[in-house]
Amino acid sequence: MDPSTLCAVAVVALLFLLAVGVPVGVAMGCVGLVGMVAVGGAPLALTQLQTLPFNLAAEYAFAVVPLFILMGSLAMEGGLARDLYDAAEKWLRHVKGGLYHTTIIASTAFGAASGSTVVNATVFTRLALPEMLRHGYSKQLSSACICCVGTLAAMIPPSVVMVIYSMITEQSLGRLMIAGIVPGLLSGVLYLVATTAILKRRPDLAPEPGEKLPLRERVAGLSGVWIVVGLFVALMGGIYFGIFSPSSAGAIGSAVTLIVVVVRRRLSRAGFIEALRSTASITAVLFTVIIGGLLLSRMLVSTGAINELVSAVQQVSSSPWLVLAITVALLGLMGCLVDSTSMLIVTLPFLFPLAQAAGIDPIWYGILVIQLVELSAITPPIGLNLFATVSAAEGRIQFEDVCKGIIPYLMVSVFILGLLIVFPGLSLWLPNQMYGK
Amino acid sequence: MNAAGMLTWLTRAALATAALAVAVMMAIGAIDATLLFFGHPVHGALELAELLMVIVVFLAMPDAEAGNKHIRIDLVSSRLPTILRVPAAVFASLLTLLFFAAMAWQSWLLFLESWQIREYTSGLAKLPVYPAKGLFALSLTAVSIVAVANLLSTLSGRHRPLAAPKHEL
Repeated sequence: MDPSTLCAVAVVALLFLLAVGVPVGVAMGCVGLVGMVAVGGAPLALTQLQTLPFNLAAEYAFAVVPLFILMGSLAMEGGLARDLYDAAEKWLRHVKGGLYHTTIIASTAFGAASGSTVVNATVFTRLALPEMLRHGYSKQLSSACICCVGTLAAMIPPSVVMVIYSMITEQSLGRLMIAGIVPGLLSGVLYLVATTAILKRRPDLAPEPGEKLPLRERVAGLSGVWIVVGLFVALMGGIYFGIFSPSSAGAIGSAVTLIVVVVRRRLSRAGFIEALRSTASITAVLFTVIIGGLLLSRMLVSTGAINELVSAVQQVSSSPWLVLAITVALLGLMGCLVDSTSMLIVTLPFLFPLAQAAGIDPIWYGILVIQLVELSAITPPIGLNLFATVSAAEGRIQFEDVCKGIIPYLMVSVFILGLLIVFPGLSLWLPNQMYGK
Repeated sequence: MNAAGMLTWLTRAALATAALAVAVMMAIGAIDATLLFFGHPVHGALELAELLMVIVVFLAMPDAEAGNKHIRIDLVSSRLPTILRVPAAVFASLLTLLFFAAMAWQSWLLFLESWQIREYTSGLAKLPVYPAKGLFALSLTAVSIVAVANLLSTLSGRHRPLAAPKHEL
């Protein structure tokens, strides 16, 4: 069987297995193994199956996965999101739509402690939505605002999506994390601007603002914020200046978060055990998908299918714009149907070699892919953050509410993607200062 | 204790061990990074973290399989007519079993090879690798046993694959 036929058969088989409900990691692993048997015989498949899972897990660089997940879990259990929210609310109480802005700022800041878009959406739905509805804020815009800003946890380091991208593409995680800072903060600002613009057109979507608090009270509210800001600056500064690796940053970040929440008596023994258990559980689930994805990827490389695909695309055009157009179209479409992790792991083995062959900077490409992941998390009908917001709202909102409210934020997210494509410097300036070009 | 009870106990104990490994990894990593800053890194911290990672990833897997936590795309499968849902679920369970059983089989070969040569880490600190490979093989065997139990439950109609968990990313 020639490589392109084998590749086509593999894609069809994979889609079939995913459609009948086979776990994503298992489906990719099985297709990868069968493909390897077809190309190189059973020894090739068995060698990969014997060595890849252990070697992948026993890689120090990947210790960053559980450690950053743990840091987010501890921050969530310890109520650090509540501190951020309360502080922002004190500063913005007198602004029209203050709770929208409060949510955007607090959720963006919490992205610096949590690496998960779903965690951010869940935490702020529980924290902010009841308050917003109680004060007469729009049900649709409130839920959509929480849902959308939660996706910034993918762009603002530490981010689990970044770790997955760096694992699959073998790119520097430190560089990718530093590259996400400017786009992440810029996105937060643009969501604030967009919300202000929406409220200018539709003032009925928010109640009249409250009274401005005295400066002393507002400054006092910042006392609970320093830990998240300080941790973010220390960890990213440490990575930026090469003081420690991302994995060490994860260990320090979780240890400091643990110490802070224990000293503040915010964490029970049961809460700590639960954070550890859920960290281990999520890590196992993620690695199952990654092991399957790498088996598939190695099969595609060993068959020569990737080289053929790259040649075929280059015959049409060697322009990086074509590769970017394919990436945006494919991930944009898949984002409506598939969850972010599966989408990345299924598509990157095909897309990344194309991007490399077209001479696209891998870090810039990573940031674009992450922005597309953010978009996918809020694109109906299958957007993980949409589901997370609705389920955490416990009946206060319906799926239709968040889908209607999300439209303006989707447009902003697409606009941000456009900015990141047109101005690569937004992603590359900071990492280039750090490591040079 | 019956077989199902023992299996539940086993998966919980394995998850508890994985959770403990996460805590140790955090403590060792933080101490090492702090001491490294002052020029005195903990010898063997890196190698230990690598072995702990294996424990975290694979000892938590039986619980993930038992709790049906693996990521699935249920866009099509949840809309299948009732008559097709059971065969699809049985097929998915069978394939999952075959995948993990094949991995378990190969993991035992990897362990035996490591045990025969008494494999140690190659870094500054010499830590034995074969116990971690043994745990790796045991975990995947436990995942396969859980997958058998899931398949039997699916065949008997007591168990249906759940929608994708919403907590990953």
